[in-house]
Amino acid sequence: MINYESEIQRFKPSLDVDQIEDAIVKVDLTDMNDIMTKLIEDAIKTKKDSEK
Amino acid sequence: MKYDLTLERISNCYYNLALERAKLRDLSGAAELLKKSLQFDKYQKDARNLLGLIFFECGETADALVQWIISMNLLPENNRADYYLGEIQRKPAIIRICSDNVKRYNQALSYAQNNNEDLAIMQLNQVIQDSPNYIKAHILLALLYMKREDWVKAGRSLYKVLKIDRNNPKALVLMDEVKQKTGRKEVEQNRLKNAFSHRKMTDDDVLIPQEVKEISPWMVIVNILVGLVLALLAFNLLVLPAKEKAINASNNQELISYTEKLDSANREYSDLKSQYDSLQKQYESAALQVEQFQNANESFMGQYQALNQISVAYDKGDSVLAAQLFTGLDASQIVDENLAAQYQNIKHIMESSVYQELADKATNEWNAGSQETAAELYMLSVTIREEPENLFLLARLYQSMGRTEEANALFDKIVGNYPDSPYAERSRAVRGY
Repeated sequence: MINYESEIQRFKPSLDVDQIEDAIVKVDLTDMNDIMTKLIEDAIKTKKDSEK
Repeated sequence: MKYDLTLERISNCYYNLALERAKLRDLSGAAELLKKSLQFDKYQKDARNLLGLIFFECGETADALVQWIISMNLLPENNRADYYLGEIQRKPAIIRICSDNVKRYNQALSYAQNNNEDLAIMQLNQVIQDSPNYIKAHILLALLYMKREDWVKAGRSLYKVLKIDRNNPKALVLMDEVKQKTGRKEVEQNRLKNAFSHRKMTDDDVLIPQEVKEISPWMVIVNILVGLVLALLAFNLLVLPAKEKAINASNNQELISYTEKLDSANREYSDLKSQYDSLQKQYESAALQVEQFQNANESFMGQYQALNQISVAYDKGDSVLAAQLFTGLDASQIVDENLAAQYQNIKHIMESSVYQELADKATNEWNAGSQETAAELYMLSVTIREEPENLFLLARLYQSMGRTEEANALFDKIVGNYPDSPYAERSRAVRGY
């Protein structure tokens, strides 16, 4: 049985055209490549630090 | 590095799957896969553009614009997003309408969340009128209708959603609920069951042959006879009455049909009879009119011929014939204006000169010893114009002819009608008073 009250609260307002700029800024464009690159960079850094 | 190639491949796989789903109008599923594709490779241009397109199809124009703008920023060259953005910029009305609709949708959502369902429904209906593909508005509207237990309208809204996005999860869940409430689900389940079920054959369904008993020939004959008797009995009791009833019903129906036809024919006959009577009356009236016209015509022709003969006789100098014809004419019968005018002309001539001409001829005839002719001419003269002199002369002629009574009548007439005339005195003298 669907609970109307809880269902209705799940609805979120739609994105208005005026808010596009903010939305674009807020979009997280991080992809798996970025994450992998970051991980590799971190690993290299850690290695360098340990060698020192 | 190798891992970036692998990520690109994974992203591409997700994109391909999403494209398949999108082609099958499973927009929600496609959107989810495209988001995953972009998580693996944000430079997957087609995935981002397709995601924008799916947002646009679902009525989420702002989200679509976000994706296309990002796509253009990341990969500005040879990008289809440029065309999409150009199309939308070319028609600013689209952005304005979408913006208005989003504002109205948000307003409706606020109403709905604050228990103002009526206002929310009104707003959403307007939104849907302007943006028929706005899935979120359809789903919210369906939910509001469901709260009101208006299952038919809710089902209608959800049907529209599923037409745009075949596997929309929210719409599917709500539609399931609507179908349960309207009893549609049961019907569909039964239909599916009937379509795909195979009834297993049970032991009862298997025909087990009974053992054949040996029966004597006499028993066979007896059985056949008993069977025949039973069949005849059953026929007489069950089939025959039903057949008789059916035949009777059929006959009755036929009789009713014939009676109706007869009744209809009688009605038609009486209608025709009345029409005939009416036409007969019209015919008689028309015939009477024709006869009247013919009579009038004949009368006209006769009068015309008579007047013409009078004119011809007078022109030839035969004043006696002209006078005879004139006196024989009944002036009261002349109704035609032209004939009446002609008659008046002839009458004027007759009364002005012909009467005296006739009197003179009569006198001459008298002097010549032809008293009968003279009497006739005098008579014509006084008939045309009653002059005391001519009356007196005719009276004297009658007297000399021995027609005393007629003579006396004329003398009395002169005395009575023309008392001041000199012939009145002479008439009195003749009469002796």
